[in-house]
Amino acid sequence: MQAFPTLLIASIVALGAVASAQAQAQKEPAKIAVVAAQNFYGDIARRIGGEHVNVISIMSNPDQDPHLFEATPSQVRDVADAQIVIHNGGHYDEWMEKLLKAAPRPKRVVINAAKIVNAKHGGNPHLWYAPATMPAVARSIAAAFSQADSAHAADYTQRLGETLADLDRVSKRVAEMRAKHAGKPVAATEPVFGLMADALGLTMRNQSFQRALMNETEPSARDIAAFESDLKTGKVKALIYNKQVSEKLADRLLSIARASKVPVVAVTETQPAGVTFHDWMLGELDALDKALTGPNS
Amino acid sequence: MFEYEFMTNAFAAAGIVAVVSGVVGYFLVMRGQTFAGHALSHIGFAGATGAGLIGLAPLWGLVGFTLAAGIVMGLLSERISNRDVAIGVVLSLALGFGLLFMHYYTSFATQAAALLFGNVLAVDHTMIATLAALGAVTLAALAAIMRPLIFASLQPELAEAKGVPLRFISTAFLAIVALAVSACAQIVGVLMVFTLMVGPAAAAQRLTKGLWSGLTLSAMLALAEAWLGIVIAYHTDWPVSFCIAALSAMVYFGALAMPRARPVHLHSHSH
Repeated sequence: MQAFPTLLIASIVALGAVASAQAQAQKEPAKIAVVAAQNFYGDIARRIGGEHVNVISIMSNPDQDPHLFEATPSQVRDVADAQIVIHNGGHYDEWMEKLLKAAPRPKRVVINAAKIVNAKHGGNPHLWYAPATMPAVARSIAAAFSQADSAHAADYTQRLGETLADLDRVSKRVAEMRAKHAGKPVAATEPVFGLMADALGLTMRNQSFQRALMNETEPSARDIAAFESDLKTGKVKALIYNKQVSEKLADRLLSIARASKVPVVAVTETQPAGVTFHDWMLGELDALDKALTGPNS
Repeated sequence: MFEYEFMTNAFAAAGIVAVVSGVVGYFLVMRGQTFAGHALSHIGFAGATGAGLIGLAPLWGLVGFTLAAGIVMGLLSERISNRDVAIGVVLSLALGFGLLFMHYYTSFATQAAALLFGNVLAVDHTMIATLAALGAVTLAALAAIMRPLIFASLQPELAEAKGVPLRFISTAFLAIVALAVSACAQIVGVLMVFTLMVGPAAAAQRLTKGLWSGLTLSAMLALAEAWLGIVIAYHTDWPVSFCIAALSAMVYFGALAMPRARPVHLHSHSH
């Protein structure tokens, strides 16, 4: 019992020494320190900032359930040190709003996507799935970079142009698919794709079921029954599901959909590793296009 | 570490909560009412989700719900012979309501998960002020009923014969526990209120003879565990609540290994 506290204190001191050595090694001159709450915003920031910025994305693992998130001490430290913080806002990441208040920093620029696109209070929080969101956020990011580092403003403007051109491919694809599929009924296990479905003009069914699953409560018996009958009778043309959240009920609906030959489209809430934001969106749109043009539609 | 304001905030908030939890927890353990403390923290979860539904801050839902439940439990406990059953029923009813409230959430319910495990790293100045006020009210109320509470806890029959209003004292005490639990849940979360309210108090009771030395040690242990937990979390990047819980358990088991300071266990108040 006597030896234990000494051991504990010794190990804490040792860890402290390691941590401060790391901190010193990381000090490099004059990169803009950027923290993005979610990796899709971080991806856009990295594209626009290039080698002039150092971007840390807090939520970047597409296999992690983003609804059950708790910041670790080092993540809070990153937020405290960041000159520019980008987050979704609108109740999606209230933890970030709390961290910004807990770790204040003078002259920090906060880019809140929900504020930029004027998102409706209490509406669908998955704003990056609305085709208009990312171009607006990209413009704000470029403006913030140019302000923080005017010497490289020309670089930021040029890369903003390239980024907007890529994002425009997504908007064009949406318009093209809307012309083809508008009005078709689809179902989803979660509202993550909801804003994109709206942009495509699809009719989204079973919305109260999706809300319950997102908030980890039980959907009502009536909601489940309606959902199952939609799938079994082929009332919906495709089932969209959030690959990132594993849920028994969602799994069951997937197997019903497969048995009833309703095409299933997997989407993710966080950007997968190794693809850019626009490729991620275009890939999901292609999969949906294929599902909606299948023999059952 | 202290160059970061979020760290100084964390130390301040955890310090306030630890002292209040250590002191209130000491009486909770002495009276053998730890299950009530556990139940109150989970009931608070329902209150917090309900508050979110009507647009209030989760803390006030937590305070309101735990306070009401504490008073109901206190009133029931003198009437129903099996106290734990009454607490269990109130607890499961409250958890059911919590689920119902979440069912009616039309937006995103991320606050709920934060409440389960607490988040001391996301404390701002307003929260520190609120916790300080909550802590002051809790300790003042405890001081006001301290003498009859000790008497009623240690010698209930004699206290009743001397005219101490047992049910009032018991109800008032559970209301005080409710306030302490609400503050504690902000730091370690509702699932781990025991780490600060029961662990240090149980260890202190084992290691000391007198009431005052026990109370002091309980508060000091809670404070040391909370602060050391934050320091360890800062350097290891593990969740703060885990670090505090691990320290609390280690201190408690360490105390168990020590020779017992008190010849007779003080636990009394049986029905």
